[in-house]
Amino acid sequence: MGSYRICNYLILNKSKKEQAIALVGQSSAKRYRGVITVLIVIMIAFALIALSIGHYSYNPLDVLKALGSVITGSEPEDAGMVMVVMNIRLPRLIAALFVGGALSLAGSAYQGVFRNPLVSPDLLGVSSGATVGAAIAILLGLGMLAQQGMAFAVGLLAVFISISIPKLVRNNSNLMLVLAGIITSGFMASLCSTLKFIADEDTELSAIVFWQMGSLTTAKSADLWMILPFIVVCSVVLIALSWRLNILSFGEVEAQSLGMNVKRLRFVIIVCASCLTAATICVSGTVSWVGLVIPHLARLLVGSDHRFQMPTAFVLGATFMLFIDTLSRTITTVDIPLSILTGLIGAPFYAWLLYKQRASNIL
Amino acid sequence: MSAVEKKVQNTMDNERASTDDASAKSVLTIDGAAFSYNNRYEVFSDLRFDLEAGKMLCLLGPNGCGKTTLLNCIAGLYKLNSGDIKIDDESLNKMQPSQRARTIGYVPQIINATFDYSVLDYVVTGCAPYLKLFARPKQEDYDRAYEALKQMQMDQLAEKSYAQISGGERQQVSIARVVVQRPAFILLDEPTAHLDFGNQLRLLELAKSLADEGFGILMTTHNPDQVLILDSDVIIMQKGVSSCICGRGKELITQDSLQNLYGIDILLEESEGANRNVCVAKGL
Repeated sequence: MGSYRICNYLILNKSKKEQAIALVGQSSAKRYRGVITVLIVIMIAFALIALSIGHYSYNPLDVLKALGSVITGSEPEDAGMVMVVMNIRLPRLIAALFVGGALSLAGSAYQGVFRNPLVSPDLLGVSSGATVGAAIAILLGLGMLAQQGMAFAVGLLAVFISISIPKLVRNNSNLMLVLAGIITSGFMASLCSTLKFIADEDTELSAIVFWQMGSLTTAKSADLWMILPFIVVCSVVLIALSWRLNILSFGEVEAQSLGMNVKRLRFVIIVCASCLTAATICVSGTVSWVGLVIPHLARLLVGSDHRFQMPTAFVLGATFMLFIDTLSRTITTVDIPLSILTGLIGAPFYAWLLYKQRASNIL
Repeated sequence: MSAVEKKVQNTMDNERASTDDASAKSVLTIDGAAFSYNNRYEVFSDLRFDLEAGKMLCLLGPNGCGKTTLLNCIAGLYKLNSGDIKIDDESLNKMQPSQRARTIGYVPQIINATFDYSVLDYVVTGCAPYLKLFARPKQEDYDRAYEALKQMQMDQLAEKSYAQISGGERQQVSIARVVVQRPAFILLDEPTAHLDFGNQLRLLELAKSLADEGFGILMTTHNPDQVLILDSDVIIMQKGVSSCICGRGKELITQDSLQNLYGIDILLEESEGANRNVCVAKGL
């Protein structure tokens, strides 16, 4: 009797195990699907609130109706509201979403490639380079478009200088690349100081300083159409490569012994992440902290697997940026520069995250 | 171990079905390999030996003689200065990285992961050489990875985090991954380093069972006794000597050769209980 029972138990146990095999590798995917759904809902709610508040505050339901009327092409009840929402707030909202999402995705990619959670997307000098580009354009009195183009070009140029230095010294290690990034950033920062020094104090200098603090005040739909292709293409490539990025984050030896072309893959990921960062800088100027903090938060929510972590970081970063930008334009009558808020909120938040992570051993 | 053997048999069958006709056993040939760091510090300059699939070969030598360097060359991480490494007369240099990874699997010394992954997610990366660049592992790949863990009696680790398992478990998990990678040859770099005595022997047993089932195993070790335990072939690399000696472990490992190799007094005695020669050091 006793043995019969044990036998029965074993059979039951076995069938449970078979079930476990069927679900193997699915538990983190399941968690991810839950988390990202909740995050997207939160993001949409935030977006609706962001569209509704500001100098003119509306009832979110009316805003929804107005959006509906624009989509269906019917006559809106309140033409003024549609004007404000569609022409001013919506472009800025989309800019905030893409800037935050792209910076966070770029940060995740950089942290994965460099196997270091302390890395931010300006590690290879893209921000300091872009600042130099923008400052040159400001000093030359060029227009907005030229300023954005220069920022993008010099930002990427800085990254290419950083990538070239390890080739010149024939040492392709990650450490050499990090050092090259420090060299380039330092050099670009000094160039920037030089430009500030010769700038006209009242007009040009303040323009450069404000640009460095980041803002979406001037974000227009025209800018968006310019950077959107970059952001979409680079984001898709990065997310498509996310499983390979997992392997890359084990280290070079492992990745290479698994048959991956490490140099090429690293190059592609760095270029994509840098393009993302440069594209956001074009629209918003430099925004600090987002690319460092949000990837952490995403890791805390869905784990380190880049297949899940990267899309999560994108949605989280988008929501965070939207939150910051809405604060920046609503707390006072003037827009507060973004980096002030990202720093004031991001730095303590980062400390709190590290405190939380201490227990879970994920770093 | 029979479970492992069965598993390995399965993978080898799959491998045979998937790759070219393997009626003849693959042979890894090191043909006059020479390597130097920065073209200055010559590590070795004329290594020659063969390894047949299904055989086991231990690499013995003092620190700094170039054992790991050689494994890195075979794995394709370093380029030889001259000479060639071939599989069945096909030079490894001419292979695509992914094709090479399907032929040669490398288990480096224990790594420390920066980020946290589950053991299963780690093992499933063994599928990488078979997947397209943008592809991700599918359910069948996960099943294969789980099967590899299960046959090594480690399925209870599958959902655990790689960062939180012990060094011995990590070493086994790495081997499970290389089984998923199903190459013809497996390179093990000091697989018993950092392991306790029991785990060292278990790992040797595992390595041997992999060889019995058709993988060609090339492993480095710092313990000549392990060669005698495995009763395998051995390659002895000496520091400052450009070539190597290879042959049966039993024949090459003598009291004189060990004293010569490591520069200390070592006794080689026959143990009836163990039914083999044992290396022992004198009391200090």
